[in-house]
Amino acid sequence: MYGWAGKILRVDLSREKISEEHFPKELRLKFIGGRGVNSKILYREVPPEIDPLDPEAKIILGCGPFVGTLVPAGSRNEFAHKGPFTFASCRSSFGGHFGPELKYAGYDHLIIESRAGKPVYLWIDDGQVELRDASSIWGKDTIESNEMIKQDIGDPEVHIATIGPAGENKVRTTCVMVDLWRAAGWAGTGAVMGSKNLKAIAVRGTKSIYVANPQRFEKACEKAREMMINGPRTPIYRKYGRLSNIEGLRMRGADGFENFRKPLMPEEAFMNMTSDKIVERIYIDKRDGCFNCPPPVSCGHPFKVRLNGEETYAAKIEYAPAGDMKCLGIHDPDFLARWVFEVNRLGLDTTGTQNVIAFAMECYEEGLINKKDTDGIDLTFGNKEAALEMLRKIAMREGFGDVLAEGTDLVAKKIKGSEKFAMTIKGARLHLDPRIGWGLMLAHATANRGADHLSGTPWLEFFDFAEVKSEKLGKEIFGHPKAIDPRTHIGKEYSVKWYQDWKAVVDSVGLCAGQEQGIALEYPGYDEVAEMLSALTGHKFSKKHLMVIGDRIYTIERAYNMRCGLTRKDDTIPERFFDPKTETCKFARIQTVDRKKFNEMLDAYYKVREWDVKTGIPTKEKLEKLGLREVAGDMEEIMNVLKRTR
Amino acid sequence: MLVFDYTKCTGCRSCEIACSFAKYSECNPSRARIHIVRMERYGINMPVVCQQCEKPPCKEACPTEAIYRDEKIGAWKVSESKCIGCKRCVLACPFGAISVYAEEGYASKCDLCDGEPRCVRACEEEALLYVTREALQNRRKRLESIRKLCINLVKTQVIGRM
Repeated sequence: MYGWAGKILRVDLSREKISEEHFPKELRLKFIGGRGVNSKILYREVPPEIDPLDPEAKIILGCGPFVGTLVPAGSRNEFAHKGPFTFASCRSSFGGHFGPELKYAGYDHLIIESRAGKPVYLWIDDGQVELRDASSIWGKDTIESNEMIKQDIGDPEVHIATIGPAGENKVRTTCVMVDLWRAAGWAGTGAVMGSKNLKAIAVRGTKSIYVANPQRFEKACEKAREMMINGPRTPIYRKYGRLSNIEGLRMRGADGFENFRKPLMPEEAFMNMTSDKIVERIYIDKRDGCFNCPPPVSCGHPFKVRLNGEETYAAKIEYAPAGDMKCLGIHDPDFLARWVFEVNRLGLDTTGTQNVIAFAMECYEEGLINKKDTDGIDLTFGNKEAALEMLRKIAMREGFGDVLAEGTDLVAKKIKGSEKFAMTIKGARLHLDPRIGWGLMLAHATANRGADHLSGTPWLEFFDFAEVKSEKLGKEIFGHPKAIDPRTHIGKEYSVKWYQDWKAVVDSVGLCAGQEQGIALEYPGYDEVAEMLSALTGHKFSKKHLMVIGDRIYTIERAYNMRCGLTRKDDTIPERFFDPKTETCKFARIQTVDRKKFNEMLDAYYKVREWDVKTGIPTKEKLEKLGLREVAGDMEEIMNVLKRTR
Repeated sequence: MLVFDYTKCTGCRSCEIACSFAKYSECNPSRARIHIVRMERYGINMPVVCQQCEKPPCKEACPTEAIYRDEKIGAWKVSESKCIGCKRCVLACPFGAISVYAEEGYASKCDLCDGEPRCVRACEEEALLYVTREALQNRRKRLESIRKLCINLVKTQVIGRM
């Protein structure tokens, strides 16, 4: 087989049964791999009514066809499972060197089922797969676990995905740490792994991935590589890594200061936390790359952490923890370094944890909770020690940490009157102020895994030129002159749908989200991906073909969400942004969000998607058009139930 | 030969995949003839690749004299017809830069791609460089002379007075 490794590995933890399955051609051609195939397996195998931390729930890990091949920056892999805080389809993407290794071991996808009787880790050594005892590693942090597993296996070069104490304690906002410094964050995958008593997955692979048409493939990859290296963001990645958004967001009046209750951080405080300041204070003059990322564009910057007077080394700060420091009202690069090091060590998802702590801080300042509730911790905005102490308590589920470990939405249900402070969409934490632009707002509201800036934000509207020459571009690419004008709600459905479908393709082939056309038009787009994919796999893929696949993947994820009980009312943004009393900023593109306009935009979006406008459920015609006949029946059933209850 | 600057290396292993693709038209870093050892805990990435030794232990260990030097580019190569796959060279190499794969049956090592190493082309960051042996000698000499100069400067405390 070309491009794909060709096998799916299934591990039943309770029965310790390990089996291999053929990766059917139909699935490959319809969903490509990675996120696409994951969502199909999730739809087919994980019953929507079960609890995400139930033994019956499954974790699906998938690598796209680009992973581990010559395709530059093609090393992104995906976890999929029912989300422990979204209670719907959820996924987590990660880079690094783990995914390629899994493919070299011969597997494209890995399905983990049921719950182990005692702590175990999974050891995949080419075709040999076994479950090993992890009792001695249980309770250790991610760094120590990583080293212990390497010792246990006796090879320092195996690649490991492991959870920390937070995952073991089933804290809902957890990540899986991959090879020490890469995190599969966002989705709470760590909690699901912890609920299965699965401490880690270690992998070593020595097999080949074959290429259908090597010459054509090499040429296509060379072209993509050139595009990436000459791309407009290369100098930014080189210097700042992924920190570059900090100033951009401020220019749009969207700092999201103190749990989004104020638009801007005070000037003086902000000056401590500019990307230049962070680079100067904590970065080391060195960079770290994911597998086959062209070295000039690698965005991983190692940084130094000052711990008890000693300097330690760690790698990669994303924009997320840096930007979300503002939600906590903190502005100190050294604290940022320490925070990132700690969340990685404990295996927590940084944004999710920041969100829940910021939420608790606002509740505390508003008097909804007091020192008695918080175990004597003074949870005020800007209190660094309190934030760090809360972090530890959440990971260990101690005292008030046990409450916050449930994630923002579930906590908000427990604290009376606190719902309005929960900055979440579909249970997932908000990370960017949706008032940056109408397109971003729509993408956030309709994203399948909740408040997600990574599954369809039309980044084009983010740039300055969006206000100047957007008409021509909007018409050319998306078919509507207002499609990327951030100031109006008209035409957003076209750009958002385009971006959502495109991102589904990118995540399915395994390309990096920082090196594709969604970020800037100079990067590889549909045509380049189609060319590389065709040459690699020997099947014919075209732009048109891929667009349908993107739509299909997005729709099946949506359909799973519908089965989990989500409807149109969940496609919204936090109430705070509709409230005229919320503080706004003069130079923000959107002041207060007009609910009528928002609903109009949503209507238009459903129409373009061919989903039912009233409920948001994909229509039968649309599903049949996409070749998802098996889904159509389920959707009809849900529609009937909704009609009856109405 | 290949020289390496570890301060520039991002550990992306583009060189490995480029090597395996050039040699076998397959994607498989474990069959690449260059290998980056990533020590993530300390942020150090170091390559394992043939150093094209002047006194190669692999050649000395070879019972069939299968390892010979390509005089034009100065690379040590393996004669596939002479090699019997006994793996003595593998044991002899102090770097682990030569391997024998069962399915191939003979030793494989870096042959500098006839003077146009593909790994170097894949490393746009120039952590990997291809230089001739002679150039390297000069580089070493230069470095040595500068080092001596610096030591003298420190000794005579010129730097201190400046």
